[in-house]
Amino acid sequence: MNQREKRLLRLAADRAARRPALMGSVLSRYVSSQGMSYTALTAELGCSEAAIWRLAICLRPRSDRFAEDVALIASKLSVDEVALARIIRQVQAIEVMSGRGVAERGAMMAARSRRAEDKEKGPR
Amino acid sequence: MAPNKENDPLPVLHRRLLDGDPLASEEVARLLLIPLAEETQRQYPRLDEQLINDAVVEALLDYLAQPSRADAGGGSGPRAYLRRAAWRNAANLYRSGKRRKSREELWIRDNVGSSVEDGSALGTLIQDEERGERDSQIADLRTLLPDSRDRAVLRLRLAGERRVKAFSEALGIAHLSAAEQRRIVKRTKDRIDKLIKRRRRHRK
Repeated sequence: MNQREKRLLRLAADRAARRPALMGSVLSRYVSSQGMSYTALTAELGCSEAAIWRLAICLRPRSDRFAEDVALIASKLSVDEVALARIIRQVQAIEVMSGRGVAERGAMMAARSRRAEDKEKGPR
Repeated sequence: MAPNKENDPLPVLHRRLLDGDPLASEEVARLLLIPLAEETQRQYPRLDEQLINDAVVEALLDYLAQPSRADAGGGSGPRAYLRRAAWRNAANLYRSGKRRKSREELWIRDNVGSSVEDGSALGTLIQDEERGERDSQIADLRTLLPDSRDRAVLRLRLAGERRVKAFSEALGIAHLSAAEQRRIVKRTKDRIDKLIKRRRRHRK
C-alpha cells in the first residue's frame, strides 16, 4: 500500500464514522462508549491499524447472516472474529438501549401523568 | 481508469454491494480510491491533494451508502457515476476557491489603488457584494476549512463554547484520553487561527 492509498483509506475510515451503514460508525461508537483509543481497539481486535481502516469501510453485517458475515470480515481482514462479533453486538445493544431508553422515559412520563390525573380526580 | 469490460470486477462488486455483502464496500474502495483520485487530480490539477482526497472519499462513501443511486444515474454504471460525483465535488471546491481568489484580488486592488471615483460603480460593487455575501462567506469558509469538523470547531468558538468536551465531540475524538483530546483540540484551534490570520493578511 503506497502513501497516498494510506492517506485515502485513513480519510475514508475517518469519514465512515459518520455513515451508519458502515462499520466505521460501529467502531466509533464502541471506542467512544468504552472511553478507549483506536490503538487499544487494534489490540482488542488483534490487528494492524490499516486493518482497522479497511474494517471501518466495510458494510455492517446483515442481521440474517450475522455469523457468516462476521466470519467473512474477520477472515479477510485478519481480525479476531470473537472480539469483532462482541463489539458489533455490544454496539447494537447500545443502539437498542438508547432507543428503548427514550421509549421507556416516554412511558414513565405518561404513567406519572396518569397517576397525577387519578390523584386529582380522587378515589373512585 | 476503466479496465476492459470482461476483466472489470466492478459490476460484480456493485451487485454484491446491492446485496449488502459487508466486504464489497472495502473491495470497491481499494479498487477505486487511487484511480479515482488520480483521474480527479488530472481533471483539477490546481486543486491540492487534500481537497482531491476529500472530493473522492465523499463521492465513494455516498456511493457505498446508497449504491442503487448509481443505477438510477442514466445506466452508465458505478464507475462513471463515481467519476461524475468526485468531479462534481472537486468542481465545487475549485469554484469556491476561484471565487475567493477573485474577491481577494478585488479587495487588494481597492485597498492599494487610489480612491474609487466612480460612485455608481462602487454602489454596484457594494450591492453585488451584499447580494452574494452570504453565499460567498459560506463558500469562503468551505474553501478555507474544507473539513466539516474544522467548521464545526469554528462555529462552536464563535458561539462562545470553551469546553474541551464540546470540541472533542465535534472532532469525533471523544473516545481518546483527556490529555490527547486537549492536545488535538488546541492544535485544531491553532491551525484554524493561523489560516484565518493568513487570509486576513492576504486581504490587507
